[in-house]
Amino acid sequence: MRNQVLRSLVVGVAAAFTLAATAGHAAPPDKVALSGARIITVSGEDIPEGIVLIESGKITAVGDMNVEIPYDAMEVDLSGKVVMPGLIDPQSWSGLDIANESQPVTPFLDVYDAMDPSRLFFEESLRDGVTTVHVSQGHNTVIGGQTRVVRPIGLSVDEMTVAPRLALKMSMSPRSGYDRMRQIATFRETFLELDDYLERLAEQKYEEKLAAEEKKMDVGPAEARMRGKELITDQDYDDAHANLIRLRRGDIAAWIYVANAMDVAPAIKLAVDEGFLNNTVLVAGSEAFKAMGELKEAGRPVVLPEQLMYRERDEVTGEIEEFFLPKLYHDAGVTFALQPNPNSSIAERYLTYQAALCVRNGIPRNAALKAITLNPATMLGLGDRLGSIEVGKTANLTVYSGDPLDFSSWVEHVYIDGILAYDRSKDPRLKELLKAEEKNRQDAAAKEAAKAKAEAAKPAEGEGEGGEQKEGDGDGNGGDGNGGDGNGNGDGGNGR
Amino acid sequence: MTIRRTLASLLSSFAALAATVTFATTTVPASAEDLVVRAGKLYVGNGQVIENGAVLIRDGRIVSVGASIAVPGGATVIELESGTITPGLIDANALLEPDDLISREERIAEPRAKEDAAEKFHSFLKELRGGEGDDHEGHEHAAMEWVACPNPTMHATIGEHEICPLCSRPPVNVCSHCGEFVTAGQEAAEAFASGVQTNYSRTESSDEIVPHTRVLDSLNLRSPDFKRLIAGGVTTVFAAPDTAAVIGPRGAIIQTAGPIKSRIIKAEDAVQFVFGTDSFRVGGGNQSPFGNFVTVRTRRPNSRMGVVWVFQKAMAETKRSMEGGEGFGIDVPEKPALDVLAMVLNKEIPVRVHARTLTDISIALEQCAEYGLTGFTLLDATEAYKLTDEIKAANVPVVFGPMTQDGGELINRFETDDYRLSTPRTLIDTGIPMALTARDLREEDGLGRQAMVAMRAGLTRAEALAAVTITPAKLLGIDKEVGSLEAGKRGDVVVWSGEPFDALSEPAVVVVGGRVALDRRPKQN
Repeated sequence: MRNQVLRSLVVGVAAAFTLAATAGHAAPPDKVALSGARIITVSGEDIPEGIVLIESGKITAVGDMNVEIPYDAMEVDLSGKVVMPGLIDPQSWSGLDIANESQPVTPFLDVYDAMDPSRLFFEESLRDGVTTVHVSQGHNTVIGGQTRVVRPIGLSVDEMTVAPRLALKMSMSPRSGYDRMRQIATFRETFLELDDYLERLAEQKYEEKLAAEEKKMDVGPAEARMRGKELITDQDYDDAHANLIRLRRGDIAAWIYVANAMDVAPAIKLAVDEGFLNNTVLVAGSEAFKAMGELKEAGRPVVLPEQLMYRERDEVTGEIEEFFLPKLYHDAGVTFALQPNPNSSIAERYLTYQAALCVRNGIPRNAALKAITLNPATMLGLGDRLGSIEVGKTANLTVYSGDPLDFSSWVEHVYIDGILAYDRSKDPRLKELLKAEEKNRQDAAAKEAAKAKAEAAKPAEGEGEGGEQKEGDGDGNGGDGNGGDGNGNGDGGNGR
Repeated sequence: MTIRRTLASLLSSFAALAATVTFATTTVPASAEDLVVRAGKLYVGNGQVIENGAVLIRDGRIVSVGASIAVPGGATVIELESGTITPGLIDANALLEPDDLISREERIAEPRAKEDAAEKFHSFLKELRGGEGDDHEGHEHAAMEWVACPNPTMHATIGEHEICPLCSRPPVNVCSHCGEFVTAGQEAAEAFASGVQTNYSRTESSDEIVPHTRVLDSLNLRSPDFKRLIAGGVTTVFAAPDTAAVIGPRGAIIQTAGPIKSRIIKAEDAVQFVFGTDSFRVGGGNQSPFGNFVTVRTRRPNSRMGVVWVFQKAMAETKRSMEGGEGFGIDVPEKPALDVLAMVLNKEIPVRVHARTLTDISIALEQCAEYGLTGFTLLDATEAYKLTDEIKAANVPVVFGPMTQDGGELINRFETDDYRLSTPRTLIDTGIPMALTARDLREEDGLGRQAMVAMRAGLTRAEALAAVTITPAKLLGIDKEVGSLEAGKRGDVVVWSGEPFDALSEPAVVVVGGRVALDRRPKQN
């Protein structure tokens, strides 16, 4: 239905975006100098007015106005604006067609197969200043599929990929239809089965070796397994087990959803038992904060829920108690990342607003900004190349019209890998949304100018002029509205 | 938590105050109910901004406002140097939560509630199946058999793991084996209604014409919703009905805090007309006049022309009744309804009209003009930017909103996609009085945040402030009582922690009628 039309429009827009980067030139400029803006590095102090040099997609210099700009760099004047590292969405399944599979244990799946680059979600992310998205499956699973870090621009998943097969999404909170006993039992079963499989595989490998040498089985099963173990190579593992082995080895991270406080301890125990605690990130639900002691002790970073203010109603008194979650985590010293809240219709859908909420509720500004940039970058194992404006890092930068935490500021430009990926002045969707505002300002300005002119020329006939101008103005407005929507509703301007 | 000083410390505080607030030449006699609120900046609400402004409130009324006002002895002083003061916010189209057992949703304490519901749901399914087997591997999803529910609209919209409170059955479109949603059943669900949850306590669905009922009668004045409004700085609301009826209940103008007696400014105010599709999408499903079981086939009206017909029939019956004639046909409104509508036609009761699209706004203008109902208030008005001239010519003020950000695929807009964030700007530039509303949205989507979004879309702070204070006050005819900080008006004041409507700012103190309803300063560091 509506989605079809949107799809083709968005693919076109996405194409336009990628084209914009190359518009008018053979290739985007290799060297870019962003000059004159206030630079929020996140990793260090703000630079009130400075220069960021980009070369071949990387940041090569950050400093004040004395930074030397190469003669062949394209200089972009950003006076009056603010530059910040591109924002990072720590986990989302909006880029997928469906959040979860119906099977409980699916470590062989990869979001690569389900990701749709034309989804409006990616366009929206870009518009909101997000340069990196961690696409993962939803919470409704036991062990889900592999996740992927992407940039929200590109016509194919390969083009978009920043880091493939980054983590396995898991949930300690029961998936639909399961109770907690069954959920945890499924985890146990899975790893027991893995051990079993490895034993059988070892035995099988030894048998194969003997068969190749045309020998007969010469030892008991236990010894055969021991000898066969050394013969196993990575190619031998089947899809169902390969990623679980990577998990144990630490080659793939574990992102575990814990909705409630009682899910935290089992999740940590699982990670400890199977040896992947150091690669674990916890995705917390609203109530998980009640196990703050355990979270703190585990020392793992946490992705906070979308709704930052948790409200609990006392069933007896009816009193509502409020908890601002980031403050609780901050005070406990737990590293956290924020998520956008797409359920909010106005403001919480922006990561910068979520950060503003943190500041409003007592968290230092830099800590709040880190929670939407450097912290998620580090959690994704990409802290060496993303999340702050430092020499050597990827040139993912967002330019704001004002302070990023000021809701009246707009995202003006977004650079991804040093290429201009988004330009608000050319954003067709925003233009449409704000169209009348532009036109009205122009009309108002024209009206003022004409009025002034008329008053200067004919001082005696002020009244009539004003009336006529109003008519003209009305026509202009009406025509615009009708033309825009093609309603054909016969609004002949002022006939009604 | 108010600051109350003991008599013993009065003199010292008096002396201390003398250092911070300069005295005027005239002294104001002291009173136990005196309250002085001071902050770094004060927005009067008429365009004037006073540095280090203060307001003196006595017996619930504003006595004086200025940079230097006399602080009477015994007065409570509330000050926030780093903050700003504005008049209390006014929501001219608020949809309130009645908070009785029937209407209450457990949005709060979500994980617990969802768990309980999920548990209940799955044990119910198990019962239906007669025992085990909730693992759906290897079976075809089988949608629930449709079982008649007295409220199909409500039933169609309950969530994945919920049971309908009416008929105690799960949603139509879930698999009876595993509880997952299935698309087959979705059509059945959609055939009955789309999207919006019925709230039994505040939706009168016995008839399409119910102006003889009052929103006030369905309100719980102690509902926690009022606390949420206060937390957002809203001190006065027009408690509006939902859009379930073509001619709906009369709303009430009430304050959000204070003793019950003084809270009701107007018990029964304007009548609401609804043009568009809401009357058959929202609410209990329109009733067949025969009181029959409601299905897709007997429900009426179910088209825009049906809605207009119902409206015109009601008006025709009103006129007939005013001339002493008998009602015609089966669907004649009740006598009390006709009496109220007669008062409407006699211009004794004001009219508010809810319409979103170009078509519906045009119909609204036409229909009201036909019955001589000029000067009505237009509500929602999403597509108002398409016919500003007509709206201006009809002298119709607009209560616009609630605003949402378009473009996000997760946003669901009713009836139209032609949403413009620039509409508040357009309306102001065209000279149409415009008030903002948050409807039933609260917290980070509440009225103060509607103003914040309006500023992002081009309004100045002064314009945004007016849209949530003096303009709704004038529109509701209560601008002698509220809407600005001027002597004689009610002592409704908000002290913001920063500039009003900024993302980093929020209401720190809220005063209604001279009583402190909220005080949460200082919060940080």
